[in-house]
Amino acid sequence: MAQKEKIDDTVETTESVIMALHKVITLLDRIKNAIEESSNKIPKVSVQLNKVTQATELATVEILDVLDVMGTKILTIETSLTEFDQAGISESRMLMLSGMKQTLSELKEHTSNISIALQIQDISTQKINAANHLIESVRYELLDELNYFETARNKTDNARRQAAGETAASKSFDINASYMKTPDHQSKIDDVISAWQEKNTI
Amino acid sequence: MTSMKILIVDDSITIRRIISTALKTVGYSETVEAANGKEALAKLENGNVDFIITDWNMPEMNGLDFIKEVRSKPMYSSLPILMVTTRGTEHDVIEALQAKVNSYIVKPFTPQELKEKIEGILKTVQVNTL
Repeated sequence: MAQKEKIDDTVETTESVIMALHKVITLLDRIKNAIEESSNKIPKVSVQLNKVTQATELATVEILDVLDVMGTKILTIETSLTEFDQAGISESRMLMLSGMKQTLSELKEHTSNISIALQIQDISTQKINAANHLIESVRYELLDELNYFETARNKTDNARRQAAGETAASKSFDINASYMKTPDHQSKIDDVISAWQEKNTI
Repeated sequence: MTSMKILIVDDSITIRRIISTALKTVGYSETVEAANGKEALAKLENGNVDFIITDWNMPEMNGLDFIKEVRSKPMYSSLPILMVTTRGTEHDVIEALQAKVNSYIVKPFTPQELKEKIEGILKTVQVNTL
């Protein structure tokens, strides 16, 4: 009687272990599918980010083209005003001419400031490239994990090779790139240069 | 306008354009461009570059390796080099100075800052060659 109870207990335990294993297998399968789905989406994100970079670069170059044209036109007007024969013109017209020259000078400064601000495109591109590199690294790691599942191995092998290539061939970037338009930043660097030069010329 | 030929090395077409335009506004109209260190070495061999402005982060060959390569050639040992980059830590600046860059400027920069840096380098180079 005691032996029958023992057998019943063992059967019950085995059944519960099998049920738990079923749950684990189902869970692992869900995890596998989630990883597979996520890693498949990553290349699309990467492509989208590259498209953003290309589009902003194209737009920035177009703005620079317009600024170039504006600069040339401003210069032409400035030259014309300088060559303008001022002999015998009234005081009010002289004032007007001087005002025009001042406006042109301000316009030149504005175009120069726009050009300086457009350096943000390079800085943001480096940030995007850094993010892209991280995403690709995560994708590679996910595919690596996915490869432990026998059923996913065939599917992931090619993707892993591709991801490894993309991670290795990623663009160059400065992960800390920032748009800091303060004279302090450059002056700190100048101090480092001066100190280093002083130390190394003695 | 000065007749100095300046080689601009940067993988960003935007920055190459901005530097080239800034140089024109401060009196340097002759420029030649390269997108990375490798391309820049070829342009350098093609001739008569008087000054180099280079970025740090570039594919193929980065700015630091490019500078080291340039400095390893005796004929370019005193060629003025200005690094223009986003990297602004003390460690970065010292690493560039150790590679024998003449000076260093962080983005974003103004045409005036660029001019002052170039003139500062040219003065030092002239003093050293006297």
